[in-house]
Amino acid sequence: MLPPLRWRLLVACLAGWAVLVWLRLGYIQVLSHREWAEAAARQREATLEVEEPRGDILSADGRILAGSLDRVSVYANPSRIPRERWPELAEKLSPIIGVAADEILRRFAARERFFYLAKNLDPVVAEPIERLRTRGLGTLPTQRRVHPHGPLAAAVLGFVNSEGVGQAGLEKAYDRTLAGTASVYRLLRDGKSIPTPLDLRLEHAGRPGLSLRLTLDTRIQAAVEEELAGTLETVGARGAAAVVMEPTTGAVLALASLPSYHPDAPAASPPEYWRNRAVEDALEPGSSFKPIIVAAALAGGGLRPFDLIDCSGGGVQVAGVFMRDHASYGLLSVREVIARSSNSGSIRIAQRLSPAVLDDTIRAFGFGAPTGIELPGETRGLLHPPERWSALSRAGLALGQEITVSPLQLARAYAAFANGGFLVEPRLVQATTDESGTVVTPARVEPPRRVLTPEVAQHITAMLAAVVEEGTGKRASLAGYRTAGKTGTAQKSVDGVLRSGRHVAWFAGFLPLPSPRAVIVVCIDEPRATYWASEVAAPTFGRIAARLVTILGLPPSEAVPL
Amino acid sequence: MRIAGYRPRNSYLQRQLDRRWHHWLIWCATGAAAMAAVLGGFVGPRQATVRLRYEIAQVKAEVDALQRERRALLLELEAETSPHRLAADAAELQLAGVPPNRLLFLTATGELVGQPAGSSPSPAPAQGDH
Repeated sequence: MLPPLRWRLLVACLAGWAVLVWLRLGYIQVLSHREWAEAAARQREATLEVEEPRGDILSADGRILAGSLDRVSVYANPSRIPRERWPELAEKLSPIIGVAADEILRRFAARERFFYLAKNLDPVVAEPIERLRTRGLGTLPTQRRVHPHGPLAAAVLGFVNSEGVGQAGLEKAYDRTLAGTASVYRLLRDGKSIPTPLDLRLEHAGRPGLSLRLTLDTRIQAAVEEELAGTLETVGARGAAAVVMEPTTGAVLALASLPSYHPDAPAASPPEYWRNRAVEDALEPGSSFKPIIVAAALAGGGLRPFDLIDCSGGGVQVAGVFMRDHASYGLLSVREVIARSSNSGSIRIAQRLSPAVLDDTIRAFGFGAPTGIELPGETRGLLHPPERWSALSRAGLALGQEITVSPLQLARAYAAFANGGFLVEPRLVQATTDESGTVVTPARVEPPRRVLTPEVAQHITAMLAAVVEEGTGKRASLAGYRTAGKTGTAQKSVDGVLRSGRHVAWFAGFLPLPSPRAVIVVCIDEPRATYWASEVAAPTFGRIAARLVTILGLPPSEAVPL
Repeated sequence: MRIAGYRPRNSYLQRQLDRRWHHWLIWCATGAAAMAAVLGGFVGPRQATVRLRYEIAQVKAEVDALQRERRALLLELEAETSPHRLAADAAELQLAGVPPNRLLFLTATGELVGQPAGSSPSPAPAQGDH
């Protein structure tokens, strides 16, 4: 038996120790609970971020223009793999990922840290790789963007980079909508600290990307691209663009830009081909701008459709500069000025207008500002304010030279003639939809703005019909369908100086009259074989129109003898 | 006094076997059984859950694979039936284009009219900047 004092000391020591242990336990279990629980979870759990599928881009006729496929990328971190296992792993991996064993070993040796052994593989390769149960080797889910219709509408769709981020076109403009948000899962690690798919718990639910339903029709887009490619080949032009638009709604049915590229492999084409010429290029509209000047004069310049304009003398003197016409026409009515594309007549009409009125009308038609279409990099075109105009500016504008416009801007302006005087906002996206096709966000449609009286629009339409029926645009005509339109051949200016030998050929028009269903603008940049719009752009317009009426099933407005 | 070769035969002198450990053995066995029952009660259902989750993971992987395949086939169908591909393969598919002069349209007034498919015969191009 211990003496009572020693007993007491022993009991006191033990009690003190017990109290310390309990205090420590209390500290760990109660006060530091969260910290330790998180540390334990980190040890036995892993976080997995899974990208939700990127939304599709669909055409108006329900075709998938851009979609995503699930793929996996195989990664390796050689520093975490025992060196003696490298040869064995390389042998096993080689047939799975289709890379030679020697090459795998070389890559292991060349890199110390995390790297991708192979990318964009079929997800079936994930299982055999996971069965290798090797720390420092695994697969990561990824996606590959595919374009089943190849280069069709490439300039509109754009492309994504290797990280799946939109870099051009709608892919860029709607990147956040298409991409959605990633889901986060928690999963257990096994004894080797390798994550296992068992006990997968959703920590944060992501949102799959929304799809875009466009106004583009694949059949019309394909027809337009085909006809434009034919012209490009025939005349050896630098580039070409075309727009087909519904005049009443602004819905773009086709928007083509050539030369183009394959959005599955954009790097295979020069970056210049990535540009959407219909939206990003601003070029001199030439004579296709004359109807805007005449509309301004009819609306606010006291001009009447049957007024006679002096177009004699083979040209007109403006501020000491003689501006040539194609011929000495004598007296021409306004209708004839447009039909014959008289430069003198247009200049005289423009000079009836004050710079302010002319500028207001041109801007009211949407020139000098982006149209607001849902594409990145849209040009506003070049239109100087009246304060910066020279004595020649009005004459230059009358010939479509002191201004640059995009094909889309011109299509929008011509739509105002076709729809009775309303300026519509061109649009490409009908709606965003979810996976089931339910509309999530319908397109915001701006109400059209009246820029012309119906009477002026009607007069201009009649003048444009005369261009096709008896004027410079005969080659754009389509038997059975009354068509209105205007040619435009412009010299291109480089650094503000007009260059001879560099032209742009335009044809802008609409059909069928009297209730136009489509506005078509064709723009051929620097055609070589011949540069007259009547020989280059007008026939292309005619061919596109012929295919368009068949696709849309438009009955002829005039009977054709059988 | 010590007598050589004498062995006491009295049974009361024989040492009794110590059987007190039986008591402890029974307690230990009972404890182990109770422990096993408790552990079994906890682990058994958990094991069933894990097995079920494994099966769910397997089925989900199969469903995912099938959906991936369906998606790939859908995109392949899109590619095979794209206007460009069909136009290129028209001859191979033995599809004959209908000549424009064989197309007829019914107008809103009930009249049957022909539909032209190309632009009208090209007149000579006009001269000048058009």
